[in-house]
Amino acid sequence: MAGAPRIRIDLNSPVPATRQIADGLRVELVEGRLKPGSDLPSVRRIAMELGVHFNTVAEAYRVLAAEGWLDLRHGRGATVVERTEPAAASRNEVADYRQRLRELISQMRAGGVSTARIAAELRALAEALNT
Amino acid sequence: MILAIPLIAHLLMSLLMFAFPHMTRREILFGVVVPADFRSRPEGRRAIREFRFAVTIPAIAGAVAIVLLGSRFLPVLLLAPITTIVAGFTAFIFQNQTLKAFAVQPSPVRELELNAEPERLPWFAWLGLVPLLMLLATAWYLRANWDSIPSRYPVHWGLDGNPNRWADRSFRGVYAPLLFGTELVVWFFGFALAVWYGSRQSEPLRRPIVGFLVAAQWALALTLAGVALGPVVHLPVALVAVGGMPIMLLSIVYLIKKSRDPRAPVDPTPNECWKGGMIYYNPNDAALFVARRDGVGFTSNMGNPWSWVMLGSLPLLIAIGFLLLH
Repeated sequence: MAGAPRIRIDLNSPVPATRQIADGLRVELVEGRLKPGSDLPSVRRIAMELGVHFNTVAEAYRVLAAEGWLDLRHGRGATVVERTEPAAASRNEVADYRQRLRELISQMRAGGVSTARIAAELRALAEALNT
Repeated sequence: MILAIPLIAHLLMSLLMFAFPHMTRREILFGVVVPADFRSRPEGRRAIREFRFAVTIPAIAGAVAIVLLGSRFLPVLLLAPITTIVAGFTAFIFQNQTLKAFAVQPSPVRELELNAEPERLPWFAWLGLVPLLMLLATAWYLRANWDSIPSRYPVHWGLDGNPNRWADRSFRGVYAPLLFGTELVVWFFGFALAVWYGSRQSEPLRRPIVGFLVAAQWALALTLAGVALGPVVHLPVALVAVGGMPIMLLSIVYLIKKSRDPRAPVDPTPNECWKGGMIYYNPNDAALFVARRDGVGFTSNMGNPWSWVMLGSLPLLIAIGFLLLH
């Protein structure tokens, strides 16, 4: 859990860079490495360092702002805000997340990760959630 | 004897072209990222040999032409080095296409530490403002010694050292070199800022290049202040012409040293965005400057419209400067 918050993208991935950036930032936010009040680098800086277009990063910031994680300041970076606890997910939403999880697990198995290893990874993640 | 200068210039240019493949770090050959040991493999050695051959022939032919025809047919003095340069670049592009088959793909994975601390310009970048003070002080000195300025004085000298253009004691005649210097120094300062804020933090050449641009500002200001002072203070022409060169040379040596640091990461730009190994065109990359693959320093990302604005503004400023001076 320790270490400075980082994001990582793969430019050859079929997953669009915007989503990779938003997903990467969300992981840091959910796991608490990015705390309320923290400033994020400017759109320009992230885009430059990752070698992507400004709009790609700006869109990722907008997605996270719409989810209530960030406060965007025009022409500057973004600040992490205290997020109000969202209403409990509906049964359909949970089903949707479960489906995505299953797809990811299938992808891992297809990629050669053993079921024992997947189970261990899931256990480690679940334990981290409880601490 | 008069042919000695163009001949030496041609030979130096040829030597520079000859050394072209060796100006980059070992992992980059003819603009292609290759394995570190590629230069010593048969394919690498063959590519370098073919390139050298393509440069040597016009270099020797050009030198012979300058010696035999230079005094009777003046255009040969320009044609000889230009032919060598064109041959060199053509051979470079040819080898670039050939070596693509051996290219190593840079890693598509990018990682970034989320640090929002503001970036500070290196302290020496502010030294780029000193040349403006130099030019201002020169203008003040000329104003104070206005009556000592001859009504007509030489401002340009031919290769034989004799003056071939004169100016008169008017606002334009006296201050034009300083105005030209001011616009160039301001442009270079803006360019240094663009290099600093428009390149990746992981790029090891950022600081040396800003240093080089500051040195260029000093060299320009010293030269143009020397030209402006010419009518009042009788400085040797050679000193004015090359007086600022030592500063530039020192910064170039430092730049080359840094560019060859094997610990520095190879620029991760995608291979397919390089045209002929020399031009970087990637509209999806926010970086305005990336490390060159054909030599030392940075090149502009031509996929970014600001590159065109910046590069287009320099010839415009030089044209304005020439209008002022003539």
